[in-house]
Amino acid sequence: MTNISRRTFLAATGAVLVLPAIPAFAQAPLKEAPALAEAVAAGTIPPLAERLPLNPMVVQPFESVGQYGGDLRAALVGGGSLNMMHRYQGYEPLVRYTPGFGGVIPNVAESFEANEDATAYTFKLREGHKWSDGTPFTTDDVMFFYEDILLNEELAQSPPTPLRSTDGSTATFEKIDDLTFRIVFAQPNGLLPLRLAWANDDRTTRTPRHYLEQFHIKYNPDADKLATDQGLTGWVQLFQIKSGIAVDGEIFKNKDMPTLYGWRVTQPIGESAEYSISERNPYYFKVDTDGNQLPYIDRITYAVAADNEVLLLKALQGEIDLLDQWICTPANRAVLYDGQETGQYGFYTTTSTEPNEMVFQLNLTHPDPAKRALYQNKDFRAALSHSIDRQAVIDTIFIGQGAPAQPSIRPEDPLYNEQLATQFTAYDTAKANELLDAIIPNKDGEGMRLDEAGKRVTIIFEIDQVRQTFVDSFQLVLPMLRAVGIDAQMRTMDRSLWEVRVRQGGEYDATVHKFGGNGGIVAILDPRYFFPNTTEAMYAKGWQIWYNDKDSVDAVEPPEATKRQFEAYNELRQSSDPVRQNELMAEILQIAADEFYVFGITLPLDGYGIVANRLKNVQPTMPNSWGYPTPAPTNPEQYYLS
Amino acid sequence: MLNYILKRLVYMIPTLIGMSIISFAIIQLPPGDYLTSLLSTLADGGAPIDPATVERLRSQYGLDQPIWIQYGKWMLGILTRGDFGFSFEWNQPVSEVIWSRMGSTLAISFAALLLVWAVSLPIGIYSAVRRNSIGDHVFTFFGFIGLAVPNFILALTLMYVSFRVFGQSVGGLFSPEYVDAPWSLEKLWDLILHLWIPILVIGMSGTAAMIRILRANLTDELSKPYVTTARAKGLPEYKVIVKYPVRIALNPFVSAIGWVLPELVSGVTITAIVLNLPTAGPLLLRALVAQDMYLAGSFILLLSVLTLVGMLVSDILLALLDPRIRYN
Repeated sequence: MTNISRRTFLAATGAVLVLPAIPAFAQAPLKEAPALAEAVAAGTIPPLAERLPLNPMVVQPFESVGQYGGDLRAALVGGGSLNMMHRYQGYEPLVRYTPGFGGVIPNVAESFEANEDATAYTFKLREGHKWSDGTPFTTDDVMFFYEDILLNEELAQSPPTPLRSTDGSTATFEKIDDLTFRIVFAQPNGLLPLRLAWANDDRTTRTPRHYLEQFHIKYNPDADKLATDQGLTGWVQLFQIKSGIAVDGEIFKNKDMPTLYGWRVTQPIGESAEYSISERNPYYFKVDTDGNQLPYIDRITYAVAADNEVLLLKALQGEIDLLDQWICTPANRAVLYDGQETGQYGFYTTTSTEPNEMVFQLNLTHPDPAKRALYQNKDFRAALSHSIDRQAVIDTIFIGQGAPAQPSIRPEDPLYNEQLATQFTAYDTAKANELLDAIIPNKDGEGMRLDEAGKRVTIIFEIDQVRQTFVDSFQLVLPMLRAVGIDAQMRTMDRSLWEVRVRQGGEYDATVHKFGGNGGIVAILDPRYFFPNTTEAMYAKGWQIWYNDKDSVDAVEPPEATKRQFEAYNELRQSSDPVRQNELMAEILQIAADEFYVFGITLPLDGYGIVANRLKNVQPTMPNSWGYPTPAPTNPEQYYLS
Repeated sequence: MLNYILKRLVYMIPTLIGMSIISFAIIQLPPGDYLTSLLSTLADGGAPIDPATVERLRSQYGLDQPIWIQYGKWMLGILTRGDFGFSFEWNQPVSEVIWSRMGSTLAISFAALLLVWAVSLPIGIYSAVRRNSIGDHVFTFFGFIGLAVPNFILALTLMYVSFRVFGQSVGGLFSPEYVDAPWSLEKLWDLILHLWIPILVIGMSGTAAMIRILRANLTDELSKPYVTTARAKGLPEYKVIVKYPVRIALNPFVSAIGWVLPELVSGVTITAIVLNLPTAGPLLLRALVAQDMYLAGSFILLLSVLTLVGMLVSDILLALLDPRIRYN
């Protein structure tokens, strides 16, 4: 039986409850899709009972038990959007998020258990679980990932965060028997299950040893030759291409790859310029409450659109069954609303998990000492924050929806911190000028403030030009900042230049970005705007490097308050007690409020998606996040067409 | 003549080498590389890769080597094995990626080209001969509209009309149910239903431009003494026009052939994107945006070759058409 370790998680909530595995055969006779029944009769695949695990996972349908058949019509835009396929068909980690995003439940693992101090986790797989080609899925596949991919010096990526202890050491995997293994850490790791359910942390369950061995030099001495024959640099590149292990989405380019997913790719993108197609996996390990093997839907077809406008027309014509990306913008809401009748679709709500629509980030570890000192002055940042008329930006850019707020936790969340959310949000130029007069009182003839060296205080915001919202907002924000004597400028640039200069570089004045977490699990897992924990914290590159690697030449020692946040977060990562985790997170948020690293405009609005009227069992509301790969945790395998 | 062709062929070699170097260098000019742009796409989706992983991938893809070594390896592959490299984004050899789109690309472009010639030749001649007649004014009016309206606007409008009025599936070359169906009469009809928009859109501005050029050239020729002489000698009007002035006025058509070949492959990129056509233009654009350099480089190389070949062909045709042209 399942053991969701004592206090490790919040209770599983949400309407679609995936029941812990009950020996399902006992109650209902197993049933399968008609096409599969024919294949069994023809002898091309084994009977259902041999394809399913002894203890299949039972999924409670959202509204009703469905019927088999049909194509789910989805879409991709351009070549770089393959990770969307994870959201539709590729979310089968050891443990998965509940549909409500409140906690995790076993998935590929039948059960798991943590020891007292959360240093060792025991996972039990399902007996008789098989890959999509019929080969058994066992501990050996997991160990292949650990020994031959994670530990392989040539292949190794630096271990993914969930598999690292707070001291930086990598977890150890121990095989106990064919169905049981342990993950052991040098230090407690209370967040492991939450992290293992994160969208792209499912690598333990997507490395079929029997298939991938042929590309691995340890098992196939000719792997290098195999690679160079195809014009590749060596076996490592070949292995990456075949396994898609390093980069999300790549796995869907290889149609030979056995998988545990509900659908397997039969026509990858690139083979046809117009469609990518996936067909049902006859060995999928889930059944509904009546004993019907899932998924209900035969195929997922992805129309490959080169442009959002084409996709919009397709949606209006009713050629899309389910979509909440790309075209589902505030601006398109009206046209999609008008088209519901002809397009035969309706809407669902996606609740935002981001802390702000726009996060203004001054480079607190700027290489120029004068700028660094100025930007690190909290009063300076407060003055800038006061000088922005948020309501005007909201009215113009965010079509009047939203209320002024800093990057913060949502008000309804238990972690909500009022100071963090509302401080310095008032539009008050007198106050802003007063604060600035105390720091940089001198002005030139045009009323622009001068620093101590007599130079204009110029802040250049470097922005990726495809982010239209940011570019539009700055048309309003720049004059507001100039009005208080700050020579603020916007520099839009090509995306790749922005990546190099800002995301990877350190010599910029300021930038604007979004994403991150705004409550519950997401805030704990992705607190980038509350303290600088990863490279995504573009306001304090030096500090986050110090946090992750104190010896790096680029590391900058942070102030005591930030160090305390690092300590608290390290303790949080080790704790397996949700009460203690919340206490520590609250402390981190309070420090974030006092330090006031970044400022913003408004909390994001809820988004929406469109769902065809014929598609059933889709939840009317779901969180919108990459970590919770919307809509995968709501179990697309139990969607059906009426 | 043969000498001339041979000489031209020999000249093409250094030109091609130069073009390959320049095209490869231009692709490398923007900061970052394929992995940078991949990283940014993934980070936007909320799935950033670890920087250390990126570094490792970079060396596996050979992107950390100096540009001349990358160029050398690429060239060596092309010359010794006919291997144009590997497309990072599509996970396939470059040649497969490009060839898989060639059929539809050539079909659409060629159909559009035929439309342009079939429509613009008679209209151009008519307009020049019956200058300032009502017919000429009508054609001129539509010609200028064709020249002035950007292709993609026309495409969007036609798509919207086709969706609103006919309720037809827009974008692409087939309705969803026919994309992977085997060829049949219904599928062919479906293709034709989809094909008229791209061909009309792509042909429109080309036709307008061609009409104007032909009209201007022919107008010049018509007032020349040799036309008067031909008339005075009693040649039928049809022969006077078609046999002499039209032949000379055709020069711009022929010299434009050099540009037609590369246009066939990469032309009308924006229209193709708007119409969601599975042609090569959007592929090239995507390769440039994603910095998928071997794909982009091979594409530009292919276009260069086509331009050179096209130029040669048009020069030869021109020489055949117009005996006044000298070889040196």
